[in-house]
Amino acid sequence: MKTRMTIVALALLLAGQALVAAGELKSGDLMPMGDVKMMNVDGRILSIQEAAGEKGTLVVFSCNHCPFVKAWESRLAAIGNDSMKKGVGVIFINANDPVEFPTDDLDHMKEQAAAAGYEFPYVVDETSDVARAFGAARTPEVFLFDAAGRLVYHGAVDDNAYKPAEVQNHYLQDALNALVAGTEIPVKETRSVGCSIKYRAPGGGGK
Amino acid sequence: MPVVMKRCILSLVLIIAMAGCRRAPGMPSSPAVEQITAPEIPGLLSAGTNPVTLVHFWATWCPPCVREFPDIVRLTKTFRRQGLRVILISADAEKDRDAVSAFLAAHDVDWPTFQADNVNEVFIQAISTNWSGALPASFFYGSDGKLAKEWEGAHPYAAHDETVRSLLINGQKGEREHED
Repeated sequence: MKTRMTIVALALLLAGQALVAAGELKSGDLMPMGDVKMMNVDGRILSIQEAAGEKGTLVVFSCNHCPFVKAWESRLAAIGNDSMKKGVGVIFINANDPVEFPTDDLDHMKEQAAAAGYEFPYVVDETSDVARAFGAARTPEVFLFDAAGRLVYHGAVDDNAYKPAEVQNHYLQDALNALVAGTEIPVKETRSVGCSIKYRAPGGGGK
Repeated sequence: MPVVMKRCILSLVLIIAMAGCRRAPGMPSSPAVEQITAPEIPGLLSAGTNPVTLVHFWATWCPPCVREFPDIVRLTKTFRRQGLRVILISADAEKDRDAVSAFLAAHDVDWPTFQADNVNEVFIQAISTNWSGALPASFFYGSDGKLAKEWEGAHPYAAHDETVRSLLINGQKGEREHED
C-alpha cells in the first residue's frame, strides 16, 4: 500500500513538473494571456496589453517576501521606471499564493510598490494562470517582449543579486537598450536562483 | 590584591573557560560552512572517490527546501557508510552565514558544507544545462564522476533512496566489470 502511494505521489509530482515545463516560453514566442485583467496596487484593473509600450513590454514576475526580490529591488525599480520613459511598457506581476506567503497579499504589495517607488503597475495574478502560461517558476523572473509581442529576453536581471557592485553582466539593461535602439539582443536567455513561485491551486481564486 | 583586579582575573578565567567549552566533545557545534564559486565546482566534484555523490542546493528562505531538508540528512546518514557523499550548497547570502550554520546545527548536519551567494547563469551552467535555477535541486553523480540523475523541487524520500541505491548497485557492477 505504502509503495503504491509513493508511486502515485511520484507520478503526480512528475506530471506537475511536465506541465510547468510545457508552458515555458522560448525566445520568439508570442506573449500569452496578454488580455487577462488583473488588480493593480492603485485599484485599477488592467491587462498586460494595456500596460504595453510602443517599443515593447517588460513583464516581471515578482513578490514581496523573497530575499532575491529584495536584493534586486532598487535595481528593478530603477530599470522599470526608466523603461517607461523610453517607450517600453512595464508590469510587475505577483502570482504567489498568499496562503503560503502571507506577506505576498495585496496590502503588502501596495506597501512595497510605494516604498520602492514603482511608477508602473504591480498586479495580482489571482489564479496564477498567467504565471503558468508564461512558465514563470521563480521571483524575480523577467520576460521582455518586442513591439510585436514576441519574447526577446527571458531570465535574470543581472549576474549578481546580493552584490550590485560586483555585477559584470547587466543582462536586462543590455536587452532593454538593444530593444529601444532596434539592435540585436546580446543575450536572450539567462538563469539564476530565485524563490520558487507558489502557484494557487488550479481553479481557485484569491485576493 | 585589589578587588577590581580580582574581578578582572576572575572574568578572564571565565571567558577562557567558556571559549574552551565551545568546542568541547559532545557539545552541539555548527558544521563548517565554506564559500564556493562557480570555478571551484569541477574541483569539488572531482575530489573524493565515492561511488555516489549528491550535490544538493537549498536555502534557509526556501520553504520547500526547509521541508525536504530532514530527508536529505536522513539519506546522508543512511548511506554514507556505503559511500554516499553529500555536498550541501546553500544559496543564502554571505551575510546570512550564521543563520545557515544555526540551521545546519539544528538539523544535526555534522559534515562540512558550502555556501554560494551568487548562483547566477555561470554557476548554474557549471552544474547542469537542464537546471532552471529553482530550489531545492539535487544532482547525483556516479562513481565515474558523471552526472547520472538530476531534479528540481522537493522530492519524496523514496525517490532519493531509490536513486542512491540504484547508483550504488551500478557502481558495484562497474567495479566488478572493471576487475574482470
